[in-house]
Amino acid sequence: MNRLLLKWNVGLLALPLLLWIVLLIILPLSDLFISSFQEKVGVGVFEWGLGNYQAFLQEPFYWQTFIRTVLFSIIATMATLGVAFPVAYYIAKVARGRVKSMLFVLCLLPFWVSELVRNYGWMIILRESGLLNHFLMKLNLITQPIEFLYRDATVMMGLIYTSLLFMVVPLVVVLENLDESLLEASDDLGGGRLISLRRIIIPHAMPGIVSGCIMVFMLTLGNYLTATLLGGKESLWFTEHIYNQFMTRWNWELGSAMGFLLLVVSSALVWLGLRMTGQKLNKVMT
Amino acid sequence: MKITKYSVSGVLIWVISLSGFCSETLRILTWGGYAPASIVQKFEKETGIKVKVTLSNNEEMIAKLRATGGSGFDLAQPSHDRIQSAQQEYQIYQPIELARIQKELFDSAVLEATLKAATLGADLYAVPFIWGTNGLIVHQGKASVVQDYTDLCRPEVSGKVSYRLRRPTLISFAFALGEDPFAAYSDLNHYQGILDKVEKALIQCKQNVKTYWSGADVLLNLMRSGEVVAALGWDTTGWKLHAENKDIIYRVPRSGALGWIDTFALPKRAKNRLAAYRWIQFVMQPAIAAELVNEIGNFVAAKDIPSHPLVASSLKQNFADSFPGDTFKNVRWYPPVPPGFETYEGKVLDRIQVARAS
Amino acid sequence: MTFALECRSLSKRFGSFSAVSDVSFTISEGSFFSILGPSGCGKTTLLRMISGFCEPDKGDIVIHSRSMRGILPNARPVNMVFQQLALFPMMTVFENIAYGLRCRKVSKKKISFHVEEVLNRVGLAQSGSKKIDQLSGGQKQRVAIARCLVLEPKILLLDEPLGALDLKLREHMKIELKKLQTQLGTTFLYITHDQSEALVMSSHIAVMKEGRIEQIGTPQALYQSPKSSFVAQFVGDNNHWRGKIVQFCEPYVEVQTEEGWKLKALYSSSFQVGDRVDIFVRPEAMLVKSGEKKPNGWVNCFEGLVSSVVFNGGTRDLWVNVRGGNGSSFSKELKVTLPAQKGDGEACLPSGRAVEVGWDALSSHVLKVGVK
Ligand SMILES: Nc1ncnc2c1ncn2[C@@H]1O[C@H](COP(=O)(O)OP(=O)(O)O)[C@@H](O)[C@H]1O
Ligand SMILES: [Mg+2]
Repeated sequence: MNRLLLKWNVGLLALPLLLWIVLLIILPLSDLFISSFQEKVGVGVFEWGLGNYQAFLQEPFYWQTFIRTVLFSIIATMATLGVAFPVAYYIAKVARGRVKSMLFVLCLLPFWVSELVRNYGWMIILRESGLLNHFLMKLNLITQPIEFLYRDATVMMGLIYTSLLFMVVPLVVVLENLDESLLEASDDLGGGRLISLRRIIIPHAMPGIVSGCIMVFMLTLGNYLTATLLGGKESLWFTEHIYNQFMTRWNWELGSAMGFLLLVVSSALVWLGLRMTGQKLNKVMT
Repeated sequence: MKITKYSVSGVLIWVISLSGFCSETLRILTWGGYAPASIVQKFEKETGIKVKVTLSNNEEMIAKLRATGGSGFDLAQPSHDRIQSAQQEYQIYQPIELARIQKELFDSAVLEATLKAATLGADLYAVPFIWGTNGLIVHQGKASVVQDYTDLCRPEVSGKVSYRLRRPTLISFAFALGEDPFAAYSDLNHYQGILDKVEKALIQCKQNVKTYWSGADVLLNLMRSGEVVAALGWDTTGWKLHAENKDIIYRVPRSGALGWIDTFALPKRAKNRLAAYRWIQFVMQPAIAAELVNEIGNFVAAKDIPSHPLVASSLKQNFADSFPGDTFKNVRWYPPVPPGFETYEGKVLDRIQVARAS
Repeated sequence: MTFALECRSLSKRFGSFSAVSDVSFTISEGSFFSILGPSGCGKTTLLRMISGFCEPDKGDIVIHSRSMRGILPNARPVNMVFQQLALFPMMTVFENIAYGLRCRKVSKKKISFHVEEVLNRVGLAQSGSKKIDQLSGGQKQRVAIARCLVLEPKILLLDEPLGALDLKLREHMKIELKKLQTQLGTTFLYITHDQSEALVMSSHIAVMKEGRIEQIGTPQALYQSPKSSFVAQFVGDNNHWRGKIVQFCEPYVEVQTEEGWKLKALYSSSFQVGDRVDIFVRPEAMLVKSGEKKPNGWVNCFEGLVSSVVFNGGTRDLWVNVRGGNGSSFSKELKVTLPAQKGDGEACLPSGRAVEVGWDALSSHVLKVGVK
């Protein structure tokens, strides 16, 4: 009797979560999945088929954009890791007290404004008539203003800036758990800094590195505004493509196929990353 | 498919309609600025109907109504050329009863263009609300060579040009290249030929482009800073820049300005149609319409509005400068887009975007 | 003669707190040298200075005639077994032990050979492929030591390595460590706060207190002739009185204790009437009156009640509650250790029994208070 009651109670508690999962994840996803296999054959008439996926493969600029976006996201993730690791190490192991919290707040700073405002901020600074050019000219470092915007490197920088926190936090968490005596032991046994980094610190931080990378990769892959606003004439982010298919072409079927492909490929890449680093998802995500 | 779609729609409807149950409410799905608070207040005071405004744009409006099966709103304001195809494909609107509206409130040219574009069979699906044009925004001192759209590709303005990668750009360039894309709407092959030509021209022109602008505020900043000296843009953007800097003007190009009309349309499952009709009647009264013109900067499709005494003189001046004499008659109002054309145009736009500037 | 290690007037301050002050000692090669002191007295700090993790403010460290000033930890010919062991959890036992050799870029074959050998030596021959968290406490201990030994350090530094083990294992490891050290001949510098560990294993002990060395000597010397009250109390058990010399009566001096007792202690020429002194008597030097006979040389004698008895196998500890002299209200617990098998009379001294305890003046140890 009691046990039954308990079961019911647990069930009730889980209900909102269940609703959340069903309404916001499972239903839209299955909708996406189903409509990606619908082909439009006439006004308001659909047929089942693989036509959308075929269309995706047959148009080089679709899959080129896709590959470009994925590669770009991987590079951005690695670059974010490269920037975040020293920062996280400093926060976790070197900085103390006030400096520590200040650095953390610094990483949080980009999130005090919306993504749109953040990107407009970059545009104000980096544009041809922007602040950076103004200063460079004032300092006589350049004679002609340079257009910093609308470049891939700018997009990369914007993405790193936005993602930094999501990499720093898990890294700080794992690095704070790193027993300093391990580093001293390594030192004592003759290991230099690089050896300690490669053989002690990085293996220890691996769960944090992987979870940070997964988060940043997903965020950059799904990014829309930064890539659109800071990117140049040729740059097209895959999410922009999907948005266009849904919103301006009204080709929901192709958009669904693209969205589904993005989901599958990004999940596969995450799985691959976990396999390659020998991490388990449940360990990484806690 | 049906089941999931309806369940999603169901939840959306439920969420959206939660707020509308208590008193009589008019739910408008419209563009930013089209239902300013002052007008809404006046309407609420006069009719006792509460107004709930949801901001959107053409694409989202249709996507939203498509997702909810045409419910959740009592009045929508899509562009006139987007109504036929959306209605044919997704049946998201219901016919408008012209008898419930005073026809003489409307400007006849704009009304006629709307009726032409938004009629399906015997049913009319929209009446005009506001109109505007697409043309050139030019810094006269620095880009005097730009007289027509294709002049944006001239070497004199290289790197200092901007336009949107959207269908108005394709169509503008088609006209400037001597084609009539609207006439080709009946012949897909012919239309494809025109698009190919435009695609080539726009890819060649790519090196001239600083960036493709995405929203009016981006274009404003580009022109203000002088980073861009000639652009394809809306009349209001041009007029706004002109007010700040007399050197920048809105120019109706040789091949003509393109005219868009935002309309009133009734979503298929609108709950409060009567309130929607009352709103239409209300905002089309000359005095209210003039007030709206001053607020929005575009001209409401009410009769004789450009000369209405309540309209700000600067706006009148803009109109007179941009459309001297009776050139307003020459505005090319977009005809309705045949279903499926957007897909072709979309691919052209995609190819232009990914092409490397030569 | 060259020493394995020489510390010359080492000092270290943390802010205004002096953790190690003016510490000097030498360790000869092959010895098992312990530093014994209560927690917080600066032992770890001293060891960290020797291993190089911490720079001394003053003084010098010389290892095999080479000054260690400015030499980084990874270049010093010493290795350290950390207090918390600091084994690398992400590696196997083999990898842990091979770590130092890999850092030295020793060939794979040689590494494998040396690691197997040292694993054999510490009795973990089959455990090379195990993960650290699969090991028991004692095994971890041995891996930590093996990890250092494989590098053949001149001196092995051990920072309370047995602290984390349970009592039984600790007793066992004490003997193991001592055996290992004798077998290897490596110089061990061993840190502990446990005097019994130090007494069992060491060839020499330095007793530390508040950052200073109180006394250095063999375990026997420290036990039998402590030079300070601190050492007398810290090393081994002692019964303790404090008092004032009131008169000489050759060959004794008479000491009036704070509790009101009058005790006799052996005369020494440095004593003067009025000196404050501590008197220590080891429990095993205490005597119990059996029958009517007063034992020889029994100059100090107390009546008391046995409050508890602890049987230790070979010995038996009695706690005897004695009352202050001249009817004073003080009372004191004295510890008396007796061999377990002795005459019948004492073999059954139950608690509650009234006894007379005392000691020979020769077996007490008298130290002047406040003089080193
Ligand atoms: N890095 C440090 N900063 C400040 N005080 C310290 C530091 N390291 C040790 N101390 C202090 O020095 C004293 C001796 O510490 P330690 O050498 O660890 O003692 P032990 O190992 O004998 O227990 C302690 O009071 C400790 O608080
Ligand atoms: Mg310590």
